[in-house]
Amino acid sequence: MLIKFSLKNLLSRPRRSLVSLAGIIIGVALFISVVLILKSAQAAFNKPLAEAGADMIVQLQGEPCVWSIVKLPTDLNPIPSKLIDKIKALDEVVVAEGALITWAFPVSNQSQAIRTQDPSGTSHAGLLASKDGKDTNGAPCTTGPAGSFCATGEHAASGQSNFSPIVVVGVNPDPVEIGPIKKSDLKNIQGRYFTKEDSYAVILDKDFARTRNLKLEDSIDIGPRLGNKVIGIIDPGYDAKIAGAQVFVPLKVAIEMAGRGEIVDIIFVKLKGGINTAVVKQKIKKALSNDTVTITTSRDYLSSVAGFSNLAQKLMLATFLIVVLIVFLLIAKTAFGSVLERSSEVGTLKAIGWQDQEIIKLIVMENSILGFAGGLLGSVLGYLVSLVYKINLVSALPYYLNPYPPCSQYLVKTLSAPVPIFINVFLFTILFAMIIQVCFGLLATLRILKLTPIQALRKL
Amino acid sequence: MSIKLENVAKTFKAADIELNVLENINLQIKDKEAWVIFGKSGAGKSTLLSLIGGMDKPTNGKVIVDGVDLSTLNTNELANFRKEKIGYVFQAFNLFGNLKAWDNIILPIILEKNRKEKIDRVMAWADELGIKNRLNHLPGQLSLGEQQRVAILRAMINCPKIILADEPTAHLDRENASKIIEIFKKFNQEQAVTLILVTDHEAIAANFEHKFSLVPGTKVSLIN
Repeated sequence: MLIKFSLKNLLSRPRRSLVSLAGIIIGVALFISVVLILKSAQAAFNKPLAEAGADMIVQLQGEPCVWSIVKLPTDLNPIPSKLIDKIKALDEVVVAEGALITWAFPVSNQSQAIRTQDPSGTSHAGLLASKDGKDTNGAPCTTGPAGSFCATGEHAASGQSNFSPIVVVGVNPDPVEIGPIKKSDLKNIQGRYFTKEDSYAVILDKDFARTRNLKLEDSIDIGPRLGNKVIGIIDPGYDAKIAGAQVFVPLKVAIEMAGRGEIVDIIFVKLKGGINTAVVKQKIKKALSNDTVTITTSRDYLSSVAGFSNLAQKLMLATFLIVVLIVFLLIAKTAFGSVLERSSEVGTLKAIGWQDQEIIKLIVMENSILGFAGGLLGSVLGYLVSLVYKINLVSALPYYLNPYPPCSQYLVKTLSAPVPIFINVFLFTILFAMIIQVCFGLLATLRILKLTPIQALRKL
Repeated sequence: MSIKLENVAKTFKAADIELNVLENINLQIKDKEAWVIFGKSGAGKSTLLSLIGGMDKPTNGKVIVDGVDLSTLNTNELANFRKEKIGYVFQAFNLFGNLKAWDNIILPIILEKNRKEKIDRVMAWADELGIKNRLNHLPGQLSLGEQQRVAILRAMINCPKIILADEPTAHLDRENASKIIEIFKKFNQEQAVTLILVTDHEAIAANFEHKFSLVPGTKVSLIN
């Protein structure tokens, strides 16, 4: 009976109810959209690390390597492979895997090419390395033409119509738990994964294969290494990936192509649960005897991708708290005001014999209905707002995790994550709106109930 | 139901100003009597009515209804007293503009479960008062006379022993005013209800045997 009358009472004064409802909806929508946008952005930024199965990425940044047919991307410098074992040896580390990201430029002089028919499998180091041959065996790069990775200068003039490099990543041929291609990714491969015996075998990115019109069993030239057989095509999904590549090759092949000795340029590290990453970072730097090593965790990554400094994050937290406060005040004011406006109604109800408890029940019920409806509609609106925001949110991997050269930006995938539907957040928000609405409605009611019926009527 | 007022006074305070609206009112009204309190605007008629109806508290003195001193009742008891024993008709009707006439009428019992008997009775009265076909309308869609009838039916729904009517004809034309007075008299006689009606029209007061004039600052002593 009370619910029926409360509903009837609310529906019979649509303007007042709508004003109250609008206050709650705006407040809740504001709160929900802020929470969901933050969560979605955070999920999008965390996704690449999560998909690689790693907690940390270790890289060495420095002067860009001197240009060669196969070179390390941007300012990545080689890390000797043996250092992976030092990282693995740390107590906090579960597993560490290295990969070698390279850019393989098309050869202008066919005489430099290595034919697929070459049965020897001998090392070609030196042939493909830097011109002066000084940067071998994992030594840091010497300064090179950092900006000339694309079709510019003498290489562009050499007659190559398409001088953009192919992004080639060398991966462990044994299925591994973390890295650009994990055990769990193998199901996404059409064809097969590498074996230890594979040498002139490649796995292509699905989009790359499509644009080059390549199929399984076809052959492809990678830099100077010609006639590589396509043994698999992987569908890596739509989102940007750390060490994502157009072409995957066995790690030893990538090492051979880079010609710098036993190196990697990215190490994926998985830590034990509940570990303080700051401590591990220090240990890794110590283990590698290198203070300039770049170690990226999801937290650093979020800061880097979103361009948030600590100050910005604090400002964001402050903004969030202000939003919560605004929501609180908006709903509170609506609830308080709408009940106080009804002072004469309460006075009349008291005059015709309604008990104080009955009036309280009525106000609580009405405000619960308003809070629930406003909370529900506000949650839906907030979700829609966050969807619209997400459409406009385009973010990419930070340059040091992005293996693609600047001239291939059209190939670079962006980061995205679905706007999450947190049932518990929605429920909490609806409950929050109901509680505030009821509490402040009740507060106003109790103020009126202190008055005699005549005093309440005179309040008008 | 008898009503007795002993040395009742009511003072209103606004900022530093004290306004003695009622002073030394002594009054006794017997069961089933119909009384009219008349006087000019601001004489304290409505205040006196609200004190009798347990809707306000006197500054001094006692209001005794059916042998019970209202000042001894707590909030819930006062609410029950108003619900069961008092039917109050406001000068401005105080109908809920958002609720239909019928919902306004049953508002005092809207949360009750067993209300069929009361509803049947008030429906019959609505028919008698000629507003049965207007019950699905909002107050704003009714004439002032019809609104006043709705307010009277709301006051009568619990079959109260006392009807307190605060200038019930103030907004009505002469014809409608006469009809409303007849309705009150009818309830007074047929339902054995004690009636106290407040008005500033002596012509209306002339319809009633028991009456007294309220003049600001003068004492009233009407006790047998």
